Amino acid sequence: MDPPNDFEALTKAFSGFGVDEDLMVSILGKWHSEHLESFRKRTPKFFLEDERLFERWDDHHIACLTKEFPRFKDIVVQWIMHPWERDARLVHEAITKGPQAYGLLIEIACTRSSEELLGARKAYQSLFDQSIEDVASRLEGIERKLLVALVSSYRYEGSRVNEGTARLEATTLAIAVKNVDKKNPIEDDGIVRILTTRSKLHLKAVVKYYKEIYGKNIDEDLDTLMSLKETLQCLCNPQAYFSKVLNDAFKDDADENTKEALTRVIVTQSNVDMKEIIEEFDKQYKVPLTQKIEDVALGNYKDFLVSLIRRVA
Amino acid sequence: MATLRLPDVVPSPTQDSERLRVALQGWGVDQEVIIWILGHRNAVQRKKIKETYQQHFKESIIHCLQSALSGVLGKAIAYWMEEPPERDAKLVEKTLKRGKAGITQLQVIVEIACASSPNHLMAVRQAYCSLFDCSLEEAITSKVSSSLQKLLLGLVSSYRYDRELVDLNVAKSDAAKLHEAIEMKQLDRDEVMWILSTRNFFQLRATFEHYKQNYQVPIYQAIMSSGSDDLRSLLRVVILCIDAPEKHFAEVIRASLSGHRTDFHSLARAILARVEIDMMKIKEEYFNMNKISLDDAVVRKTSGGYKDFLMTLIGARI
Repeated sequence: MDPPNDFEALTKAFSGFGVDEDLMVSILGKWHSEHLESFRKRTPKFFLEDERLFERWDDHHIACLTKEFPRFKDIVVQWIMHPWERDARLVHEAITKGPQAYGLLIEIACTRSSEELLGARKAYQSLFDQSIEDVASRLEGIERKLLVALVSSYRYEGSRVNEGTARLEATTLAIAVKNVDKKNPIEDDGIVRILTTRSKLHLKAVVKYYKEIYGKNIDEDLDTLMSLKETLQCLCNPQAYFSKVLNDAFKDDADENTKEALTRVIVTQSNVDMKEIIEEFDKQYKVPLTQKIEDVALGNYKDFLVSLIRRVA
Repeated sequence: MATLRLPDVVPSPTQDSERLRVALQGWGVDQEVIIWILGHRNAVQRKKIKETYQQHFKESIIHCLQSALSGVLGKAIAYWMEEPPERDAKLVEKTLKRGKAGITQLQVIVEIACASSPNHLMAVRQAYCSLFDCSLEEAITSKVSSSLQKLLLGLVSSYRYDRELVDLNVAKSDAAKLHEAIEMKQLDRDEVMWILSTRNFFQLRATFEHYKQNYQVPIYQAIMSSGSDDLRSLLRVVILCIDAPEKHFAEVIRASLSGHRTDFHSLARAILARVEIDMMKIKEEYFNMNKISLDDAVVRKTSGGYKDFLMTLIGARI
């Protein structure tokens, strides 16, 4: 038993995504009450000196542990779950959380295939006795029009693109962006229609023509219109979108919603785009995704994440 | 209630295919047999006949029927043999292709979106993508005038909950919102479109009932009294298809039978689409409207194999 090293190791075992179960068993399992007391006294990060002279666990840290211990359970349950049920539950969670979670609705509506989105709509009806669009039509905020139309879409997925129409629609978007002070494009029927009914291939062509005609990437011009920007990114470049979401989850100041994305992205994309996301992450952030996960995740949760990624890398 | 009559013992698809082959290939096409067999088979049975015929004779039965039977009968029987989602996808494509689609044409889309099951509408959307290399929504966008686009897009995009779940509070508030839109003559509001597109059919019927009780007039009448334009006419069709589809189809049939020239296409379309759903109710409505039975009207205005086929389907001919 090596108290200083053990204390440090144990502190680490509690500080990250998930918890290091093995380490906790191997260290804690051997301690007697004097070791525990010593640990409590010498770890101010977790324990406060109470006025009645006992070391009290910091409430905030208990709250963190309440989220960290179940991460392994969550990822296992989500991994086994049918993709339709998984997406339906994610949608329901997003709807319940309100405007701060609308990005999740956009993510699911735009990164899934037409059949996958239809599946999520079916599962939603089974689980919650309503159609998604019915609930979405009663959401608060200006994003409502866009969200209802996005969750209702069934896009053509073939290779045919009408280049003339794509070019025209690039211009329509540009005009709407330029007039943003007069009218928010997100409330424009025409803009919403383009984003919610066109095929993904067609929208990629629109983005290409936008760059050709105006010399800029459209997401630069959409900087203040986050929902529209995210919508286009999810539709045209989901790997970049997921790569960014993952990177946000790793940041020090990430809140729980942002951190949950680590589980969500790895699980939902593991059988889809994982290879491309790994490549994009590497390119954007100059560090392999597996490396990053090894650094910040712990225990069974970490092992599970890494094995999911290793299947495709 | 359906009017399609099935035999007590249904022959196997192989037997049916063989008899049909003989009827199609013999000296002079035997229309009677073709009508007799196909006019007494439901959608599942017709599909099996199609598959079996293809397997045995390496030819599409629809192709054979179209070659062998001429004119309106050939078209009607080919229509009858198509899978409903493909059939309706092709119908919409033809409707939109015609250009300058008015209410009489666009109501076909409303019928598919509002008078059939959510699963059927979804299947039509899927079939449309496969057949025409674009989504149904894109087709509507390019061919329908903008005043009607929003409503139609909303209607065809919905995948409604299909169980009987009614929230009376929602019925009350939806009725109020619709009433306000009607009073303010703002029927192109998003809210109107969302209510009509996203609520389940049972919920909407409760809303319409609530409207009638609270505002003393049926909602479609309120809409028609508030002005006259294409949007209002379309909304009337929407409400009728949701609330009382038999009334709508009785009207479509009546329109196709009135005038000098019978509209064979619309007549066949309306009858074939509803034969396995609510034809009996439609016949009752037709009689209430016109004081003449549908059977008599069809006999008067049609002839030959086409007449025999329709009469078989509506149960007027054994």
